[in-house]
Amino acid sequence: MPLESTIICLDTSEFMRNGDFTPTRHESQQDAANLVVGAKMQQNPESSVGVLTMASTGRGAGARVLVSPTDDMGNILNSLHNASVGGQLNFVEGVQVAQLALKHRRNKNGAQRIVLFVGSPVEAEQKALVKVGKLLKKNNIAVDVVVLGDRDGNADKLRAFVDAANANDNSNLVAIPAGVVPSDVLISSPVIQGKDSGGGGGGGEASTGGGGGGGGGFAEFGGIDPNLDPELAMALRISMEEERARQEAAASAEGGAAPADGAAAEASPAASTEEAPAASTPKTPEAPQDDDAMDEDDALLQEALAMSMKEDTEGATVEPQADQMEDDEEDEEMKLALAMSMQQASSEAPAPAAAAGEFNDPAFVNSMLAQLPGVDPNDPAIQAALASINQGGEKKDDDAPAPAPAP
Amino acid sequence: MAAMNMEERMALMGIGDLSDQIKPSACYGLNISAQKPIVNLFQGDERLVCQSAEDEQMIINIPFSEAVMIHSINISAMEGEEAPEDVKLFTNMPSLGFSDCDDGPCAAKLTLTAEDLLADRVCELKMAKFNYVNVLSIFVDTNQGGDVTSISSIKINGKTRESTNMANFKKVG
Repeated sequence: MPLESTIICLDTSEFMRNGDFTPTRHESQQDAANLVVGAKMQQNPESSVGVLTMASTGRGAGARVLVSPTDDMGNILNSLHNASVGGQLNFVEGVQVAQLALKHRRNKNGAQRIVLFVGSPVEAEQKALVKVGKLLKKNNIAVDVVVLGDRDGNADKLRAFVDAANANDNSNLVAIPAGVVPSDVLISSPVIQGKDSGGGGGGGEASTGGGGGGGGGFAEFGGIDPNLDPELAMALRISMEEERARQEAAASAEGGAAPADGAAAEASPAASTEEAPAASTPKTPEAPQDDDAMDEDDALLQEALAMSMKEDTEGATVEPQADQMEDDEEDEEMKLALAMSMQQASSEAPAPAAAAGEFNDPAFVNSMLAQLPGVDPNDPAIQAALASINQGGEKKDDDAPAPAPAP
Repeated sequence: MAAMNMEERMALMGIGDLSDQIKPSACYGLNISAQKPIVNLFQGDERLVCQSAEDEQMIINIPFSEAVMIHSINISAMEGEEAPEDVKLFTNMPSLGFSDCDDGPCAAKLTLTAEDLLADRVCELKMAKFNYVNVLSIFVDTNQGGDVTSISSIKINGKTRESTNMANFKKVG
């Protein structure tokens, strides 16, 4: 964060006695100003901060500089604390006096900034404010306006003022609604964070953006100032980058698997309802499955079934569909398709064979069917199908080369 | 004496380029574009310019590492309407603002022609007015008609106060 001279302009008009902020507008303003001072002083050891009030009573009423830009923190906080309420806000005069105070700052080679707190109606016309804003811009002075309550009357004027003074996004307007603690809003705003680290700039910008965190506290470095220990900061950053890469890889792997799952889940009802009849009608259950096209179809069906079986415990995707098929014939075809796929699996693929072997266990199949909604395991059709499966499975097992564990 | 050209006289007086006394990063100004900063003036590349931001006016402050006497100055710019025209020089006013430039006394007022803006020309100044300079402020008031002003380089000739070497003075004639 660059070296910067800042003037904090407090609104000390009578409006600040309002209690819509706790405890009062004025005290919450002091609290927020305190935060700003701390943040600005931490940005750079040579940064300086000054304080002025834009309203005062008695002789020379108007803007009054309480402390000109200095790096003496105690002096600044003392003057902040001593600012008392009274008088009327004179916005334009306040800005002009602040500009003069900045002009005679000690360290000329640095940015200039005016932080204005406004909690009362701005009397000046918009035209005058824009003129002052342009003057600030020409003099390379950035402006941050913090509006406390009373926003409706001021919003347009102050927006125009900030826009006129804005160069390279260095000026900000922060509106704080009544009832919120101003410092809570400010701490995450560009007023404290600066424009670089406002978006949580990472990587190359972290060394500059993170350094300006101030109140924000170097979140990306685990609360450690990267400037104090560059090696540690580097190690932290590399570690965090690796972790991020790992998480991204995991996320992409999951993301890749999830759609596949979804597709399979969607495919399985379709497969069971549409393909099964198509596949089974031309063939009998005993018919050999030598046909290549048939094999492929069956492999797909088998996969889909195996997947939907896995999910059966949570929610049945296949069976509700089957449930809707009241027709016995279709039900029967369904069973046939199931039986075919079982045989296919047990004779061909060694890995699915183990799973298919479970379906040869009548107890397991019964218990599974009992869990499915809308399926009666005592249904004669289902019993018959199960019997045929068992027979088929045992018959196949005799021919099967190696794995298929027979029940 | 009259037959001597400026180079000979400068050499005789021990006057040389003051770039050693200028630290570019210490220079600052007002109404300077963030993209085309003052350091560009000291890069030695005429395409790298220092440009004003809002309008044609700009202030460039050049602090010297020690007090100097200034003999002459060269302000060079690319030909065109962005080249500066009316320029005022102020000495030892580190907080110079635009409001101070309009009607205050200045150390020198230059009206630059296209010829003066070439890199090898120098504008001789009244040395008495630049006898003890810690900060030289250059205020560009107007340019040749463009919206903004661009300057390629600034070279300052003079000598440091402390290094006046009497051995360099020779009897003339």
